[in-house]
Amino acid sequence: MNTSIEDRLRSYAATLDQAVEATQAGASNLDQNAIEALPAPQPLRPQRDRRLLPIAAAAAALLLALGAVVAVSRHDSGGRVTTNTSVATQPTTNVRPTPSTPTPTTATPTTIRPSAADGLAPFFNGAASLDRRLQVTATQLNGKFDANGDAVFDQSDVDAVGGTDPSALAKTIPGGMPPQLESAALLVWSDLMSRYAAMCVGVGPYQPQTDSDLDGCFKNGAAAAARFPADLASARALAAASPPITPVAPDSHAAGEVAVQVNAIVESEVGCGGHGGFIFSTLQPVVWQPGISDSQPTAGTIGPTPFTAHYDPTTGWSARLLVC
Amino acid sequence: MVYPDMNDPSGAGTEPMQLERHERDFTSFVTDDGAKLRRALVAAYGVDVGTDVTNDALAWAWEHWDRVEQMERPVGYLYRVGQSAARRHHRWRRPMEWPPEVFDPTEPTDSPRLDQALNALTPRQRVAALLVHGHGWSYAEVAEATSVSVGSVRNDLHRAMNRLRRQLETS
Repeated sequence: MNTSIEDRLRSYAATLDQAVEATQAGASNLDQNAIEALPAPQPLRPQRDRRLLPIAAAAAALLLALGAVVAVSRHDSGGRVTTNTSVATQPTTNVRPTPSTPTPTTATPTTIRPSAADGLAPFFNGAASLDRRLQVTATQLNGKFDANGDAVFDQSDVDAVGGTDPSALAKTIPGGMPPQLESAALLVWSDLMSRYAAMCVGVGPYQPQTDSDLDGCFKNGAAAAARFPADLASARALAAASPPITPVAPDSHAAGEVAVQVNAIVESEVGCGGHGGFIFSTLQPVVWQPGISDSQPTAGTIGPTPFTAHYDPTTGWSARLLVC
Repeated sequence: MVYPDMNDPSGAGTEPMQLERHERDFTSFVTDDGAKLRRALVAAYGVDVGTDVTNDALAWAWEHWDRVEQMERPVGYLYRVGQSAARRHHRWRRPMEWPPEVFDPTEPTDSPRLDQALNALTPRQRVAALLVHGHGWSYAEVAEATSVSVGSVRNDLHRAMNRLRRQLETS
């Protein structure tokens, strides 16, 4: 070969970085990026430009590293490696002073203490389960696309997508969490909702070139799929390091705030003709106001947006943002 | 009502602030030093095991952050933690996985593959070759990250390159 060993090592180091990224992004990333790889329609909004996906993947890798503070189930990527351009960061050059440090003799973390992870376990487990269902459904839908990016969906596809609705999972997010932890849990849920909302499947042909209403919807889930493992791991780590969640009354505003925040995410994902692509970032302040009527006993604002909320002893809180 | 839970009746008001500081510091650590640790451990143990043991080491760092943030060479320490974790994978006989080298299409396809040659090296030799020539680290950086002396890095790299040349330059 004409290439020197040093050059080959340099090139192979970049390949290793790519492989690590792929491993961290997990199978869900690969599944939904398969849709992304097809000749897709132009994105609705500039910020959903496909060129941002490598950056999102790099961010997901970083977040996963942070999320690694708890044991995380491995996503088997099967060692798949692409030869596309990578986001290979250069090593930092800051070198610390080098006095000796004692070598560890054991490295087995065994501390088990009560934490917020206990109260969030149903949500985390449900989220992991729903992630797997979304992966399976994404794979099923990927298989329907031909080389031109066209597809014909049937009722089984519609049913499969219907089985990934994360609405019920939102009910397992407890109220009364510290804002940082609530944000982390809502980010996880928003990832799932974004992926679900992006699967804009109806019985019949999907024609992205002509059906402007569906423009860009499928690939809107790719970014959320890529970051989900990291977001879940990060939320789990934060919960594990947080004190136990203080229970709140089911009919309290603290419990109702979760429903309001969830509904704000739903509106961002599917409201006003949206099809996913929204990534939750920060909690918006919720301000409750006195009730308006029996059917709308409470109302308020979340950020600048008004909402109404209702508590039912059987189903809990439901909220509706007054948008679109 | 805005975030009523911020007034935690348990009185643990300082704990979230401390947690926030820990998380901020830990995030910064992961951004800089965590990336170095990952590269070193992936170079030693391959993509799958290397990534897993990096996560193990970072999890250990999070749990013992009070100690880790006081260390002068935390990456070297955590590299040893990762090595300990890797022994578990070794006991499970979990194979090291190396992605295939991507060849220049103009090169002959029967050329010896770098990934196979790297797999035949010892972990220390592989780490030295990949970090110095692959990622452009200095000897001192490799020594610090892997908790060995600069002289050891120099020797490991010399032996690694000799073996790689024997295997790859025969054609």
